[in-house]
Amino acid sequence: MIRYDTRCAMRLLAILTVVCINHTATAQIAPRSETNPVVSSFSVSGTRSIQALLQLAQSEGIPIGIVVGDDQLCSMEISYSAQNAPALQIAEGIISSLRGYRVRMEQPSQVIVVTPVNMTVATQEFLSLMDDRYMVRGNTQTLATMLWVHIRAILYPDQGTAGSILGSPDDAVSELDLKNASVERILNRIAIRVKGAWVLRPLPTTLSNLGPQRPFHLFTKADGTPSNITDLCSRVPESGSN
Amino acid sequence: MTTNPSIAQMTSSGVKGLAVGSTTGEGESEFLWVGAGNNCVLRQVTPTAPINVVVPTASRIVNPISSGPASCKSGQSGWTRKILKAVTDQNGSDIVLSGQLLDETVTITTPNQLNLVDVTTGTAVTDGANFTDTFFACSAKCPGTGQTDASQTITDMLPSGAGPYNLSPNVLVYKCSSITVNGN
Repeated sequence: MIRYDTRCAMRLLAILTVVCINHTATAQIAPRSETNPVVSSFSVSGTRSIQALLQLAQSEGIPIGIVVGDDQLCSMEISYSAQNAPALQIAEGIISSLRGYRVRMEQPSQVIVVTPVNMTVATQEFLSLMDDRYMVRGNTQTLATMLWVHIRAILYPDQGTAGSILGSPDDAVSELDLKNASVERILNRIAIRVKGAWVLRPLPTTLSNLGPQRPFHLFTKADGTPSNITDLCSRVPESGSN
Repeated sequence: MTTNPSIAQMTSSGVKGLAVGSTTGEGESEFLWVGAGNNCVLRQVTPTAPINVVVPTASRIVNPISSGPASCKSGQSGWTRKILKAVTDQNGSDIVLSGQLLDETVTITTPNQLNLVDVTTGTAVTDGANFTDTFFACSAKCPGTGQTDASQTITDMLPSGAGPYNLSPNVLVYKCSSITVNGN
């Protein structure tokens, strides 16, 4: 009896172990499927590449980052459709006809990021700027604006920045608290939080004299189609230039 | 028709405002009135109604929502304040119309003791007459007693596409521990 009970207990333990392993495997896979979801139907026709990427982010709530390197994203029109395809695959399909761009899934955030293959030094420096504390609560515009305020404080600590951010009373409010995070990581976290896309325009050759205009933009489902999409591919002017 | 067609025109399809002011609209209508003994009589009526043509003119503070230290980068500090506002007409009454698209420009004037080089702005769509405005300032001059003045002009595009209308400018005063709009 004792031997039988032991065997039963061992069998039970073995079964439980298998169940636990299976459960662990499922738990590891689940986040990937949540952040790279299968899109049941996606279709664009004669649409600018950047607009197609924004449509993927805005209509499907998929966090996407876009680093604009040149005018291709805004000028090249594409036609593309997919059924039951992972979001990353769709993003790859959208940019497949562009020269010099690549798409990757950023880890561990699992944000889909589209970048030029050869990013400029200024763009790399900008995305790598470190913020020791980004603690902001507000609507999407506030999250973006306060990040820009922090970036300006890193680059030009003697210059102050002010804001007057209009909003709607029913705007969704988000809160983020990040420590020692790069600008790219903060942008990715914002994109995840608002279920949208960030777009970084081409920067000047150095960051020493960036103009006051925020060089990145956020788009959520509520924003609709950008009114002047070609602006997203125009180079950010330096301070004092027109 | 209206008693003052320079203010509003009235047609069978609707009323179109042409200028700010008040007038009276008159309409004509005929209907069958069933009288005693099932005698149908065609009656004509001429109802009137006041027509007030309003235009977005200014904004007012409805109530403050929050205020406190701003989430500035280390090395700088400052203040933030969020208020609920409403678009008003030439008579000071709220224009309760959802979907007004608001944009703004803010220009730094003098003094600029906080050394602010830029005022970031935003856009909004009204809920009824209401919208929010979140002000903030971050400066290496804070904490301190200095202030920076600025002029804010909000533009209003109506859902019909009319506009944009420039609302009366507001005077903003940014300090390290307060932000006021027209002194409030």
